[in-house]
Amino acid sequence: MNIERVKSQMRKGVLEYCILSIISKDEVYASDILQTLKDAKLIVVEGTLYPLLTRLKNDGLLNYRWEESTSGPPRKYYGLTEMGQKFLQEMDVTWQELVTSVNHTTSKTKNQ
Amino acid sequence: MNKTITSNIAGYVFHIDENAFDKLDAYLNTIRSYFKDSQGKDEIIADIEARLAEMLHERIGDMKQVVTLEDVNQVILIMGQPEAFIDDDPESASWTEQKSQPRNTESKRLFRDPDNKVVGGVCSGVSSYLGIEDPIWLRLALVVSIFVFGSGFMLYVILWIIMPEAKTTADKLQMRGESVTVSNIEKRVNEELETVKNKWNDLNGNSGPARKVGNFFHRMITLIGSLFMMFIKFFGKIIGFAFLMAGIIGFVGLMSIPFGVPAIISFTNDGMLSTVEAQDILNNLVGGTGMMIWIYVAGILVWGIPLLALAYIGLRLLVNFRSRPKGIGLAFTSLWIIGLVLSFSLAMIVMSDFSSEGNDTETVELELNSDPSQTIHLALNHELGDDEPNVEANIFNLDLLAAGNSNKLYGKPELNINMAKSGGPKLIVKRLARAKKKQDAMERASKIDYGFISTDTSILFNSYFEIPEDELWRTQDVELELLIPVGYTIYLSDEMMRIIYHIDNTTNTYDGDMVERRWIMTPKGLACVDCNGLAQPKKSSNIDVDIDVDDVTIKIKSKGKQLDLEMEQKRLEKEMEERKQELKKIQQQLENEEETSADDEAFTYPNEIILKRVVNATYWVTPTIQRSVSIAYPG
Repeated sequence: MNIERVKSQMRKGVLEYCILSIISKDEVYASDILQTLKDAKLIVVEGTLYPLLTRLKNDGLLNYRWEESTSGPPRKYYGLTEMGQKFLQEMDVTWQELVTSVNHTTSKTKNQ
Repeated sequence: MNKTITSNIAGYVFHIDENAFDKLDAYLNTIRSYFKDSQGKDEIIADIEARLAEMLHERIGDMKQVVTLEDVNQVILIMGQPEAFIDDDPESASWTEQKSQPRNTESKRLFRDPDNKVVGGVCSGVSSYLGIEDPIWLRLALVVSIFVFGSGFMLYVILWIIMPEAKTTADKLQMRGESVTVSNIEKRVNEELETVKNKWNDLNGNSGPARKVGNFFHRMITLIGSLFMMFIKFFGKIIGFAFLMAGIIGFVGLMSIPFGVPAIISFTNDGMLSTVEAQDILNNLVGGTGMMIWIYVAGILVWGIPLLALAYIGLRLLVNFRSRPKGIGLAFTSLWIIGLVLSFSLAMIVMSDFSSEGNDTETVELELNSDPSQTIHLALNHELGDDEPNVEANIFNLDLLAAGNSNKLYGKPELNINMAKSGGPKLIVKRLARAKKKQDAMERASKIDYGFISTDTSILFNSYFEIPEDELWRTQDVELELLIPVGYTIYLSDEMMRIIYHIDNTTNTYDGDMVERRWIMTPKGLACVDCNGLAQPKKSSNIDVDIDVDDVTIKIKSKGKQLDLEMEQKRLEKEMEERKQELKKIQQQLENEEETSADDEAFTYPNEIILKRVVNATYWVTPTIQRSVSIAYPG
């Protein structure tokens, strides 16, 4: 069992939830998302983000609009769709439940 | 120092070092091949490209204007290798599966295989590309082809230069991808058709009824464009193959010239096939091993490089290459220009050896029979016998002797006949040649070997002049001029047609009609003695003419469509009688001598003289005194 592999898979599992969560606060563009994720040490390489964004967009959870930039070509600003909002709310609930379950399980095993 | 490329990456303009650009391009290509089957791959790649551009933009400022390899390496490190960030969504195919079963359908590329190499990994790379299991077969073929004038060696070196080595795992996967087979080509064509169809559908669906009409032409153009591109792609392969083959065959041909390629193939008089080698022609023109080597070098540079370029273009059309070998194009272009300059210089050197003409003229007084009434017979001397040039290839106006390995050149002399203003008959032999200096040209001319034999009643001309084996061809020529005093008669034998050239005569008769006739030198020039065959009768008139010239009578009579010519030569007739009498006398004398052989005093004629007289007498019996010719003329 490769520890790195497990780690990255655990991260990947929550990555979509985190991305949706970041976008829900404000309209953001890719660099903002990357910065937040990197600060949180959720991703190692930036390339990871783009396939995920595309898939979430294709699933109808988020959309984007083009905005002029002062320092270069227009940028994509991402925002959640209505479906995305609902999805995120469900995820919030699921995450809370999961955290509780995991905490419950791990603390129990540790106490024994 | 580095060459930079100006590139537009996602809307930013960058000056980017060539090596950095190649790296970036390769990186994006790898990503593209990883996301090939993912939904929305274009968007993913566009986003990644935009982010890379943004990062690169941050790295350069006012002070730093050029994106370097270091910058590109840094941003790639941040972005990560595609293996690390592939979205292994259960819906899309998992990468681990892809890894074990590479699904590269279209991107099979030609690489050198570093894991399975003997010299450079070319053979195993090509084997992988062609789907041949074991590279041993190609290696064998290569070894064999090395013996075909070294062509295999050249091919190997070229392939080694242009084929990139498979360095990364992705390269190796592409190297071993699906083989290029007929069924795959078919698949490719079907895919292309699908694309065209999609394009058609897209345009149909996207446009409303109002826009449809306006867009019709646009759509048609797009469709035709797509079909055209497909056509180009498919036939590009065929053209590529043709280019490759033409280039290789041409190059092998070029390389084999020094090994003796027949440049002129012809049939000899006796129906045998003879050849003259290109090398021999060059040797006679240029001469000297040193010069020959330079000529070959220049020839290979000037002709070989375009042929190699043709083969390379063919290969590019036929096979996917990822990297263009840097600097090779420039190097080859420079070499080609060097070759041109070299050729030009060599041509100038050779040309300069033609700049001055010199001649060597010799006048030979002919000791002919002093009696002008005797006809002088002109004929050819076949001095070469069986070795006569039998190749009718007329190079440099000379005949190359094909028999044996001799490099000797032979040429035909030209004979003109004019009036001798003073003195007896003489022959002027003018030998001509060219060289850089007049003095050398004269010396070269004097080396031309030409001879003739004259007796008291005949001249035998050598049918060829000969250039010594160690001499170069420098427009050597031999001009003969026979000067005859007025009153002398000459007879041109049939063969003389080969050397006589524009002989002036009073009747403007062509050379071809001058042979087999007797000509007398008159104060006005050569006049024909027995040319009645050339008279042109008028169609419907009856002719009955007698022409008397000196002691010759010519009778022309027409009988319907038949024309009868009759000629009498009284002088000859008389002469004949005299000779016959003389012959009889000699014979009688001989008989008498036999009878009185005991008496030494009576022996008046030495044997030699008698023999000569007999020969002379019989000689004159042969020519016909009277000739009857019948000519049918159309009417």
